[in-house]
Amino acid sequence: MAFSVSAALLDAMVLAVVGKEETYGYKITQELCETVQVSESTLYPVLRRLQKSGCLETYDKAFQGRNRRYYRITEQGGEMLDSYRSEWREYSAGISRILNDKGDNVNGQI
Amino acid sequence: MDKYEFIKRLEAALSGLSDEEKNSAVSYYKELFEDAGSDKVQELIDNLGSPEGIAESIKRESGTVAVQVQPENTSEPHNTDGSDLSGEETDNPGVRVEKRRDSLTIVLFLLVAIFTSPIWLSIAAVVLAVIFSILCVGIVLIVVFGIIGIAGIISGLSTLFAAPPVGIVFLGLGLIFTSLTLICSPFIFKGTVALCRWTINCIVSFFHSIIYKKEAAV
Repeated sequence: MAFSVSAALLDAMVLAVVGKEETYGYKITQELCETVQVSESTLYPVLRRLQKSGCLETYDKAFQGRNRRYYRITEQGGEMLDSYRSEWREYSAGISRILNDKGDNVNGQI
Repeated sequence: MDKYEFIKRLEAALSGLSDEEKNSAVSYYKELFEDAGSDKVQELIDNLGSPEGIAESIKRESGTVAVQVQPENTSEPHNTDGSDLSGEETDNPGVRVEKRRDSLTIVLFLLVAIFTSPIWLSIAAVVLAVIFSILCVGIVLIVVFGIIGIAGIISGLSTLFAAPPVGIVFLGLGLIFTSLTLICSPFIFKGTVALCRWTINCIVSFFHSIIYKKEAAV
């Protein structure tokens, strides 16, 4: 991947994935790592941190005779996610503006 | 590495963490491997990389390794300068604690130093003298070789026509010594510089260790 994922961005994405639907570790890993090419090894520390800071909470659900730990977003996490989302809107808009600005172009492609 | 080995290594590397932290991490990864299913598990293990590396970042998260050099920096668990998280985690740079010893301890050390000064001062003087003489020998060696070399060449050339054999001998010797000089001088020079630097380093770190105390990171 040409562009790196910062810690904040990773937090935001994890919050978004869990915010969409309460889910468990492997599912989160799959969705993030396959879509955005983030390394699987970075995920657990992020989940742990979000849990400790109160943005995520966990509960166990039985599955095929074993326990599966599910993650759920808290209200605080939801607020965090909203602020990440609006920050990202601005940030990515700014970057897109600069990246795609080709100046006075005859073709006029944006 | 199969999943059992991974978990075993992870558990070992996490020692030092509280039981709660350790169990939380281990059960997360055990679950991960279960959910991955036997077909995807090996790929997952390969992508996860070293369990020791993962343990390091977990420890960093829980603050076990996060001791910073003062003044206090907040311990950022991941690179926040925007650098790549999708690859290897880089090491947390500030892992050693360096605190200024309290003034009482410093004064105590200084007092002890003054009282024992006859002993360590004389030892230090001897050591410095030895180092200095080594440096002198090196420099003298170069100079002497150089002089012999030039003298040899000059006298060799001058007697070359009067008494060829003698002249050739002197010339030869002169050339040998000149080349020895040229070959040895860079080494002697570098050696001298290194020796001086090492000495200064020793002295500085000695004083540093009086004023600051270093604690090893967990």
